[in-house]
Amino acid sequence: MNLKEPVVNYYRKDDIAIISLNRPAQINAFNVQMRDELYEMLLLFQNDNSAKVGILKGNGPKGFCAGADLSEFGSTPSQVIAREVRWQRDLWGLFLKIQKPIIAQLHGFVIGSGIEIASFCDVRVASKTSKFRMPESSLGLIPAAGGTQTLPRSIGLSNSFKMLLTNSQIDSETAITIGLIDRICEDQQLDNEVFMIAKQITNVESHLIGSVKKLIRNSLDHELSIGINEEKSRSKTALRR
Amino acid sequence: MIVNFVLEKSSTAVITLLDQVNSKNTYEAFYWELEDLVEKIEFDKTIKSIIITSEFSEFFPSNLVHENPEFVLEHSITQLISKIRQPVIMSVEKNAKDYGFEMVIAGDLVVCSKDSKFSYGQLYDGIPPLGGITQRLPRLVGVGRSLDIILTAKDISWNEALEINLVQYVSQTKSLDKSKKIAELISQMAPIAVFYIKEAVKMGMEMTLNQGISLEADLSFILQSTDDRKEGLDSFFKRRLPSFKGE
Repeated sequence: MNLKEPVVNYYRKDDIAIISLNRPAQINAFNVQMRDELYEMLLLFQNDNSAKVGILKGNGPKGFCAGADLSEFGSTPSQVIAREVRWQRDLWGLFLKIQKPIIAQLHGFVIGSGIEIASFCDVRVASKTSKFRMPESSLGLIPAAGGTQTLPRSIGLSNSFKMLLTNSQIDSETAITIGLIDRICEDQQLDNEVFMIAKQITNVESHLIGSVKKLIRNSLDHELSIGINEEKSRSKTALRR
Repeated sequence: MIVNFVLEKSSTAVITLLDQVNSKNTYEAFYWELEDLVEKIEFDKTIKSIIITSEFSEFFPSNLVHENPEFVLEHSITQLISKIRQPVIMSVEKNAKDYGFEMVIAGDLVVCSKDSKFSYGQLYDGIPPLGGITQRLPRLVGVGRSLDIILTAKDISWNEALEINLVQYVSQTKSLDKSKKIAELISQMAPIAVFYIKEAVKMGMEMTLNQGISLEADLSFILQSTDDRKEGLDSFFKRRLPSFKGE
């Protein structure tokens, strides 16, 4: 029997699933156990027919996620095995595949992998006092959870270089200006605000949500005309339902 | 010599386009000198970032470009800049106009001063785009703004440039001083990680998201074999500053 305390929780309130990172003492630092459990919880969310929208948050007052748990680094036996494991449980691929929207609820420290996880969500809402930073290059690392790909697509090339190459911290105001987050709210309002957004989205029919999410996610991957055709064909199908 | 080169704190290459009255200033001469320089420093592991600045009020003189546009197309300074492995900081002291503007957006980070203005009026001289502006500018500021800038030749002030993300830093004093500070920050990072981040970001934007994620993952696995990664983690746990060797 596994007596380990779960580090990712899942519960549902009406048709909204709330997935929370649960290592508050470590500011929800992302470790192997968290990767595996988040993968399981996302699968659960995907298959939970009563859940239309997801919220991903971090437990504890200090922050959403302080980055990767570095104490586990270097424990993989070889690069070959590390690479195999990476694709066996492709957490980030799963994020992209899920047809339901996930809202990232961000507060306090949102560092490294914290930003990367949030970037795989569909809407990012942060409390006013959140702090964002990408420290990988100062540690001899590069982001490995998609950060070099998702950031340029949301904040542009130059802002990505600025964040990734100088390890400088930005606040929520700057984050919303450059497009790293989509909404900002008072710290005490965060829970409520995010829930309201989720609730609002649940008013849209699920198949439309899924279709739009996919179209938008893929829109930057191909030429405009291909995307327009894709939209046309999906919408045609939707109208005939 | 019309391009000056100095090493700043042994880790930053500062390249300055010189405005000399009596020298033979031609685009060709600038191109050949820059090409030599880039070849020399690009694979020099001790050089962690590159600053490019200019004494010209328009960053690069439009008249030199207009003299031989065919040559400019075949021997592109902007391509030269955009292919450099190290992060490139474009330090604009005065303005950036026409081809000078195109050069500036071929770098990775842009620093300007509180006097700086940016503009692209080349179409009004009957000269087509020569340095990639129709491709790079939309990637930085979006399609609508790009068309506005290129078709109307409007002046963009430093504050608008900052707002639309054309520049990332505005210096109260000399922009070169600010550029050196940013270069200093970059030089504290692990060099191979810096190269790989630049590669992943730039190449990744030419791929689908999934392909880019795959590239990033592979680069990150290669990085696991470096001494700098061990050093970075060790310094983190011992709460000391890391000393990266680029190995």
